[in-house]
Amino acid sequence: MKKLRIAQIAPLWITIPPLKYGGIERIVAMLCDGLSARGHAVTLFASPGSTAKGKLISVFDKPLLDANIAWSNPIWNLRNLSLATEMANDGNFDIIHFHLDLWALFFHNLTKTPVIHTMHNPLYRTNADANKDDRLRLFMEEAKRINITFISQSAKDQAMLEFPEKRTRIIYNGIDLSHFKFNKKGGDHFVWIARMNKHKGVENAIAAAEKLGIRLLLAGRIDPTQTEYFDTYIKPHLNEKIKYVGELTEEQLSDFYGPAKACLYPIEWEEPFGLVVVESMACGTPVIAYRRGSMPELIEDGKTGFVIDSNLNLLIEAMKKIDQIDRKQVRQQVEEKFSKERMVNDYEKAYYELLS
Amino acid sequence: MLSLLTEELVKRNYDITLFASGDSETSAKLIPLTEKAIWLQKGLRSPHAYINTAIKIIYKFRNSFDLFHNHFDFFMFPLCLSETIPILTTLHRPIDSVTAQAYRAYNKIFFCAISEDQRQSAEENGISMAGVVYNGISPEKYIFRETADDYFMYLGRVNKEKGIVDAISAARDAGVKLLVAGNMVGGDEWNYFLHEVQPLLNEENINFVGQIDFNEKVRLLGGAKALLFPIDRREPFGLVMIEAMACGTPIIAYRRGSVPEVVKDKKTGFIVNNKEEMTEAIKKIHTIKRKDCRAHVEQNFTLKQMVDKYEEIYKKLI
Repeated sequence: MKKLRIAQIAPLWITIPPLKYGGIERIVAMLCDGLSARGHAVTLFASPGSTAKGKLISVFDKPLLDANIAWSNPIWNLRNLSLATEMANDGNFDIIHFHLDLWALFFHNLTKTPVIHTMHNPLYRTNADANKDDRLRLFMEEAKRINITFISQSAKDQAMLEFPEKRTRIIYNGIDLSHFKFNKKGGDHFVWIARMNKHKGVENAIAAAEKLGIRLLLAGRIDPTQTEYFDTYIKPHLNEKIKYVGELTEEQLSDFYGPAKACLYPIEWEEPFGLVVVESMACGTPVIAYRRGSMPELIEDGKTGFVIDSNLNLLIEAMKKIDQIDRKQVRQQVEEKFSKERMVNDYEKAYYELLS
Repeated sequence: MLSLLTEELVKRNYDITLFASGDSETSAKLIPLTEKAIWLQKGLRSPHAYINTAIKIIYKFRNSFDLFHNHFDFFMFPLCLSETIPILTTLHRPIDSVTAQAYRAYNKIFFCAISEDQRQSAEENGISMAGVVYNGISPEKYIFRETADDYFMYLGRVNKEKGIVDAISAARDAGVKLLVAGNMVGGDEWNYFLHEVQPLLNEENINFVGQIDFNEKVRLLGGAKALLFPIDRREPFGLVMIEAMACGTPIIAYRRGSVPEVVKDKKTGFIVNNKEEMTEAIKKIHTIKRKDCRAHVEQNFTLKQMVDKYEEIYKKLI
């Protein structure tokens, strides 16, 4: 098949891939690397310092976060979108892939080059009346005209918008399996990792571990806005058995997940994907999650972990029977469904479909 | 300013459509971009959805007029990526070198400055201008006062760049009364007010009146011996200066941005370089004739002149 000229339009706050935290940026990087390796001509519109494969075009001389540009000031993201659109209109690309949510939405009007959007963030209603939510309304108005990709069935269902079937896709995020070592033995303790906040269910994990009197390791970033939450609700529970080990780099993740019996993910929101789940499973460590958001899609209940209703007793029950899970199958599931190769395949296929 | 421009253009029989918030009052055709001014929405975290809505609505009309006159800064620039009527953008804010990089890249947008100094500042940053149009007002709406009361005045936003602290200390050093009228927008300005300004207000001669409406503004400006304008940025125009002069009130301003174009030194006020010079100027304000101030506005900064100039530019672009 003909190789494509593909424009990837990334957010400009940090580099692609990110030096530390940044889920969207990591996905965009894998996509650029993978597509380039398959011989496509990738042009990446992103911040200077980005090292993903492809031709890098930067409209501003620093990542916006380093330049202290306010999050509410869209001037450079608009310029980024404008330049990509101008270049498309000059005939430089076969397809444009936007990762910029709302801001990118309007730009398909400005070019004849086919456009696809990935919704990395949830597109949920925030009011009881969906019409009152302006972001949702704007997507609603464009829904019939845009090609859109969700990162899980749950994310699509939660969106509460009618998107035409043939323009709507679900493409799961993928991970680089070579970064996650398979640990066939596991261990005696449990782990929890995420950004430290209430929605990620850290308190549920602690309560379950305390009831069982079992060891639990906590990890993940504490945002400045969450230090009070951490000090009030988490810190008092820390002791010999329940420990917080800080924010981990990607290199440290395998040694965190691998030696654990299971990863606890008793979340309290409709999480659209849940990279933690897939990373843990890549190390062979099963996941026990509350049935929220995409969890039933990522975890096969009874086979790669347990998906349970939001209830502490059920969580404890599941923890007791976690040894039933075959860790080899857990790893295998990720290889089949959540590798970056599979993700790049899916996007590549989507591009060809849009062009045919 | 936009309202004045719109009303005058309607009077001159142009077919004007105003894209603005739905609660705007205008004689032009109004196409609402939002129901109410988003200013009024407490707790609005980001204006992104509103701006996107605005772009979308205006885009539908991209070929319905002879010209877009844009006062909404860079937000409307993406419109020029498709075939549209000419877009003239008046730059109402100071130009910084970082923002200028983005402006420059949109080479189909026509720009208009509101003072020669702002034009120069734009051109230093590589943005060429289709013209310069001074802001204008209707002098007849400002009551001329031949004699002033016994106070000086500061009128403007409460922040460092607008020089409120210098105004207060210059007045204090000169031993005169100062009336401070101003408002705070956003957390930074409130902090500045609480920590830098409020402690100075306890003094007997410094009187803070907060935000005032138009009639109050005319009344208080007219009664002032002079308006203190110790601006600490490259001011693109400084509307309050012509409003004060229209009331007969001279200006004592720092030599920044547009000030030398708006104030005639020693004739309609004093242009000074620092706080000490401002204090000296306060003491000799009686040498300025209030009639000269009013006449200066009538001759140079009227709404009629502003709209005449815009008409010229419109004709050039169409």
